[in-house]
Amino acid sequence: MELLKRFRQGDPEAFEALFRQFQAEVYGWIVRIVRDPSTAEDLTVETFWRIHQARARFDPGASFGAWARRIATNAAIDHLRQRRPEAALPDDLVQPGSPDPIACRETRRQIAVAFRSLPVTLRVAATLSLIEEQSPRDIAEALGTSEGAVRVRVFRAVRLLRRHLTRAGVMR
Amino acid sequence: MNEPDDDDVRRLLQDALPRVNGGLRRDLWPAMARRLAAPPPRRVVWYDWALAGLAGGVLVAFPDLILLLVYHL
Repeated sequence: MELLKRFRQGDPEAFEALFRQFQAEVYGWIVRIVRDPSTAEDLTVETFWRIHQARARFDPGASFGAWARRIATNAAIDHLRQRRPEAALPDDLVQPGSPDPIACRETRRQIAVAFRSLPVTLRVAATLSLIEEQSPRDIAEALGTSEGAVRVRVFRAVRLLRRHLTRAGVMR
Repeated sequence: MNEPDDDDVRRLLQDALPRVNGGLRRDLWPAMARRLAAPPPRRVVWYDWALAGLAGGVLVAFPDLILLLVYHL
């Protein structure tokens, strides 16, 4: 609590202490959304920059982690909106040796392309819910919305994906 | 959270885009410290651009004003 108050007052040592305490957690959240370690590192720094700039608005009685996660989500969404959709898929996130039930690499590529063609807000909700299996409460908190709104976004994402994949012949 | 109808799509997604398990590979504080020490980027606000555009438009429409402007400079 004392640390958070000092951070709010602009104490650089308090900010550094919070950075060191939360950088891994913030990075872990961002990399789930952007799925690229190098980009996630840059966005972690960007997130803490925004946190530093907004410190006067932080309520020391609230959870710093939840606040940081929300700012991190916004930074990741801003990045995804700016990025060209046809950018290459990061290869280093494919787990080596993991069983791959999809025999055809082309099918896998089609699924990834369909997923990345979703509107960013739907894609982020679907990533966190369907792939990363985060709790609805955490997703809603990070997106600054309700659990019901998260469910709607996931539902719409699934509907769009199903339509896209059916058209591509991946699903029936 | 996931409805039964989501299962087929979820399975496809998890196969094509595996979950991310990697942790942070390095301390990011040096990068953060550099960012904090860097001077804030100079930003030109939109109305500066609008003013510059307006002035340019006026000079294009009335080229004689350039001479007047040069005289006063």
